[in-house]
Amino acid sequence: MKGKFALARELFMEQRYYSHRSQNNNEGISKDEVHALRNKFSLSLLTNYFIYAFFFLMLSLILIIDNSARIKYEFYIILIPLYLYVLAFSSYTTLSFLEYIKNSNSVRLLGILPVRNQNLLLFLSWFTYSGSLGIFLLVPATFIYVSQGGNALEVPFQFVNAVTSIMLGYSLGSVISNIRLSSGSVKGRALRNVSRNAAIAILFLLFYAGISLLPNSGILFSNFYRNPLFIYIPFINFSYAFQININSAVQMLQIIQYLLYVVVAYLVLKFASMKGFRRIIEGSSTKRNSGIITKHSLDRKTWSGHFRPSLIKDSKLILRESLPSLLVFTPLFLIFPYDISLLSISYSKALITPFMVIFSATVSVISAACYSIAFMSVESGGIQYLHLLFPDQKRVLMLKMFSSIFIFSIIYIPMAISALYISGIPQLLWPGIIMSSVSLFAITLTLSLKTLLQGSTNVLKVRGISTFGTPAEIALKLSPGPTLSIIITILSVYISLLLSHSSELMVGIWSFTSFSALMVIILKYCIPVKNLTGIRSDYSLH
Amino acid sequence: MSTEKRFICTDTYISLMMQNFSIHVRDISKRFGKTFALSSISADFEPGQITALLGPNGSGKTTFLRILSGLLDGYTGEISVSGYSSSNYSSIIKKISGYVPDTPALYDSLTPMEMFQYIGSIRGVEEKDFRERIEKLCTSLDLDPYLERFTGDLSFGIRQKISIVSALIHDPGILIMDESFNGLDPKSIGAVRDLLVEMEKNNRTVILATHSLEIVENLCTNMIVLKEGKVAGQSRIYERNRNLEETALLRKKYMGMTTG
Repeated sequence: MKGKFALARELFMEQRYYSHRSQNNNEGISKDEVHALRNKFSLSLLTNYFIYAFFFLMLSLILIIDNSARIKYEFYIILIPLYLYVLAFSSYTTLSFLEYIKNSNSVRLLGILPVRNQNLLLFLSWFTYSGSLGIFLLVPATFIYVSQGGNALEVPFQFVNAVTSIMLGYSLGSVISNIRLSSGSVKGRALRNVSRNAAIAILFLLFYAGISLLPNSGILFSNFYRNPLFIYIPFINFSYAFQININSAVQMLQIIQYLLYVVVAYLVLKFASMKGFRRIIEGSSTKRNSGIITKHSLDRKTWSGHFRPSLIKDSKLILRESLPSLLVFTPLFLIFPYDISLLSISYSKALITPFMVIFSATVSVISAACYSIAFMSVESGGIQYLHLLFPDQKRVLMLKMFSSIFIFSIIYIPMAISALYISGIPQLLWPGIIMSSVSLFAITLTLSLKTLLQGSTNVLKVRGISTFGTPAEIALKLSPGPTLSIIITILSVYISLLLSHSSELMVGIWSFTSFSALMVIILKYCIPVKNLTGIRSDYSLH
Repeated sequence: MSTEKRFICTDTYISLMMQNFSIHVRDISKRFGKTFALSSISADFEPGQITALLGPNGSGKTTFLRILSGLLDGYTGEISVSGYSSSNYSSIIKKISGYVPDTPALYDSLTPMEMFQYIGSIRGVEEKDFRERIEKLCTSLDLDPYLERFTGDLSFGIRQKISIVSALIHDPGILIMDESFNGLDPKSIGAVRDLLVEMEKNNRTVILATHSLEIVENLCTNMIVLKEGKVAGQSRIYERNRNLEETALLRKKYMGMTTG
């Protein structure tokens, strides 16, 4: 077992190494430096775990304290968002972990070792360093519940329940990964990817709408639970499964029923992880064609200029990769909850414009950071071509920025219009707010891409959020762009409030400053400098 | 394809009457941390020659080729291409050369055809030339059945061939190959050799790193041997397709340069 834990740890250490390699060249480093690097990876594994654990603990406590008045009677309803979060977090991290395992070929190394139940070893690795974090979301809330007079037996049961949710999250992630890697035609696989992402987005929206509206209609939801059908759905059947009273034979039966859920969850996990593991080992294949170059396959145009081919390439790569294609939907995931909350709460009309300005800037900044990671991580092995095909980094930045803004605008602008409409902001201000948001997006994106592009000549084996390090490392690395954008926004709001309380003036100043800053950034980082003769001074004839 | 080659040095169009380029390397050194990967390397690569870069593992071949291809900077010394000496060497070389890395680095989620289309477009290859070249290269390397599959699903050898085609799409004046024969089947090795001989005839410059003395004997016109980041020896190969006795002599010469 000790050996299995060591192997499980090594898989995550290897992931850290690949993230490090994507930005650094380790050729020629000494034995001591290798040792120091391993220590750093090990420390980063622990630090990352504790940061997440702390964040989840806080989230759990805040949610439960915020709802303390209802805790005694509606504990399970309050917990629902946390259960959904555990499920989503587990599925996402599983998908990310399995994709990395496939891309890095780590599983092939495992395959030749005499280790039994290798599929469960992957689960053990993921659970130890990632999945188990879900426990920090559910168990602390239960302690508060118990401290306020709840049944003490809830603690071990919530612990088991958290592990069950995590197992189901892993199973879901394995199934999604399996679908992504399954064989079929190129178009078929791209279509499957798009439909799967659309399904995830719709599920998110439904979940969020449900979560937002549920606390206001708790009784209705409790009745909804009592529908006999839900006895067979472990995640929704909290009120049946956990109202523990060991003196009651009926409740004991329900505990047995609950334990049955745990067994079923384990069997699902075993089946899903075995299928996922086999798919990774076997690899996937696309349909082979006849072996003769057909007119169709040669019927490909080359495009003039660099923008169109880059946009087409980036769009295809984004649509065909699981995690980057989810990252480009960041504006949707951020704005939709805002729309829902505006619909369900009352707000001050006087403060809505400054709030909207700051909210739009936040959406742009977070989206830009996610887009920079998505657009760089999809380069995978081909990242070398970015360095080989273009004479300098400025051209690469310009092209990546163009593709990102194009895709961002398609997703962001309709969402922004919906938020502006629901907020009741005058239509006259809409173009200013949207243009400024896109400008801030472009500023943050350029600075972030520049950071990620520097030194990234190595093959990228980890895709998604972890491509360039842990979330904390990435946040630190990418901080200049968001900081600049937020300073621009806060200064604009502050100056306009000093001068007058006019919304028009605020949006005007914000548009002017953000657009000016964007021009400076483009001139500095994206456009090569010419001298007066038009010939670069550093070319000279012998 | 037109005999007049135009290439863009960032903003400037420099018109050259031919596609023949030479590379001159003087005292190139490269350090990674405290370790010298290359130390005072000097070499000349002329049009119409196929130069083999030999040496034991870790001798600095890949580092040298990455510098030559413009992928790696931060070195000391000077490199010039066809008389154009430039602090911005990498911008020029990227336009006129093709580079095949030791491990095929491809876009896993694109099909080979989509990749060729992207690279051809960025390289500014005319549509007619693109079709002709793709048809010729893919037929000779037996790539046809794989053109509409994801590159990430393909075997190492097929990926290596895709990498070679990607480097040749724009009919480069200089071709740099890093152990690119690895993983290829015998028929494909023959096809790549034919392509390189054709490039030699067209007065192109070819530089290839390899561990196979057989390839050096049968294909190359020059060889440079690296050892521990230094040039251990350089030699012109006057006669190719030697007999066994002469092959043994070449082997002995190589061993003499790399051992002791």
